[in-house]
Amino acid sequence: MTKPGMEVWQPEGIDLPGATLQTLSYVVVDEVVENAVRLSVSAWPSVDEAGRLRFEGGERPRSVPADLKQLRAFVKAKRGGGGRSSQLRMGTVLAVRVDKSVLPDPESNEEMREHASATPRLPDEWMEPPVYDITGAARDKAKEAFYAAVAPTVKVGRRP
Amino acid sequence: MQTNVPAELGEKLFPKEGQQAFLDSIEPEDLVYFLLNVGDGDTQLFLLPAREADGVRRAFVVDVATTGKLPGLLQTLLGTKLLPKLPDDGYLFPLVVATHPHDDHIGGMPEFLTSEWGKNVRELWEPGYYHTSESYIEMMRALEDADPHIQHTQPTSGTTRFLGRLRVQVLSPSIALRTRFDTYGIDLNDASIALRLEFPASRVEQGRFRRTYVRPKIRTFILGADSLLASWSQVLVDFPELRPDKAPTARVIQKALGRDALRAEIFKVPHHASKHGVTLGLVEVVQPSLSLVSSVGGGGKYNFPHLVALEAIREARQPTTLSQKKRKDDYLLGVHYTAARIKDGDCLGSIATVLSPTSRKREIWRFCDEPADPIQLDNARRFSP
Repeated sequence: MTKPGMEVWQPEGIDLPGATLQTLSYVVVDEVVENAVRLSVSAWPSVDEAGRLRFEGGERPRSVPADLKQLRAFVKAKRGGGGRSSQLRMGTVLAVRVDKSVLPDPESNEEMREHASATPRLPDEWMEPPVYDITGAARDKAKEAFYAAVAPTVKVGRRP
Repeated sequence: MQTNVPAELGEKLFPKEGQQAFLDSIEPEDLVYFLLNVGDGDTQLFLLPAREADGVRRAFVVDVATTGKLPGLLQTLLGTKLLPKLPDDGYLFPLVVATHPHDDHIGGMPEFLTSEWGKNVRELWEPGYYHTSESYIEMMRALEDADPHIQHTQPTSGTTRFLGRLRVQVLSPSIALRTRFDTYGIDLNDASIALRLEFPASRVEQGRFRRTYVRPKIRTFILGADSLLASWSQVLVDFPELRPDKAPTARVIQKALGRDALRAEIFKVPHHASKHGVTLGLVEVVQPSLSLVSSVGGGGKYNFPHLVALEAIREARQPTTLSQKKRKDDYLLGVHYTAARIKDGDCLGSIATVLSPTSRKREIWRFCDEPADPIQLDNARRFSP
């Protein structure tokens, strides 16, 4: 359910209805240290009237440890159609349904301990296929966020 | 759970003294540096000396890893002698730095900028490396909404800002690294804004009808963010050591510009003391007498802090490889961890360092908070070796 004045974000490469998209999570490869990955898991974003991606779930993204090789194999085997596949590296974004009930609350001491746990979570413990690689669309939104913050936007049709 | 943070420290090293003793230990001209315990992440707050004009301190923030913790500390400080009120000019924070867009450095930045505290920010620095995470996109959205009251800057090495009596200089990213951001050709960590701070920055003594240029004893910090080898290699190019240091040319340069640019009393160890962020050569150049590590202490998959990095810090402080001498304890080498514990099991948690501009005074306080806990000044313990 989106808030008034908001629309469900529909990135290129995923041909799913809005109601289905809202059940997915926005999963970012945030940090990679050798084979250890920190994933940043957010609720599916909306787009506001200004065209901005908005994460308004009311809570911080969850931080989930993963193993790079396991994650790469899972994404390769369970990839959904459409989106262009990219390497898994910092900045890669996946769209996938997530069982949040098995993940700790963001910023709790439990999450801090999980983040430090020796055993990363297996992807199929908490991710439900298919997995969509939406890195390209997400990078475009990140660039938009960056440039709109540092310089004025221009109205449609007034492109310099 | 395996950990590289040393075993529990004796409680006698950290006697509990409470809020009043902590506040009483700080003079108006002192600099107070808080390194908050946020697990594998960074949240740093500097309380600058009170301005003579209005008697109010300003603050300088470097990274906000989590929600709640920094705003909670500020709320706790507001109304105490450290921060009796907000400045009348509306800018408690002349500068906020988001070193790089990883969650463990900017996870709380959107909330901070959107909150009432965000209305007190005059300028924000970030490296200009766009990232796809929620934290980054929401931080930039908050910045867009705040326009134009927050000045936005993407600094590179050499950029300098004077915040009252504190000099803030950017060591990294270099222009060469900055140019490669758009290609994603460098690790996001190497986009980090690493900083060198000098305190006090004042150089002019003023009397009636006269001024004198003075060279005070300077207290220096290096805040390493998550800079890795590519960053530090560029830093060593931009800020070279002056060798041989007894040569006439080096002496003249040192007289004019100060000692080696990378030497620092206090070293906020890069990348949570990962093996990719710290080398022996780097710490030997910095020669810190106080090294601070912000990380979880539970071992884990990243296993921060890495043993090889800690050994580099220890070896730089006390070379034992050749002599085979017994290594001193970390606290004697000036190495402190947000994740350290005392023998009754309490986490020592967040660290406050108090520095005087006129004497060698340096006090270290701990607040016994876990990463998700608020800081309570009542829990203040003074490091008393």
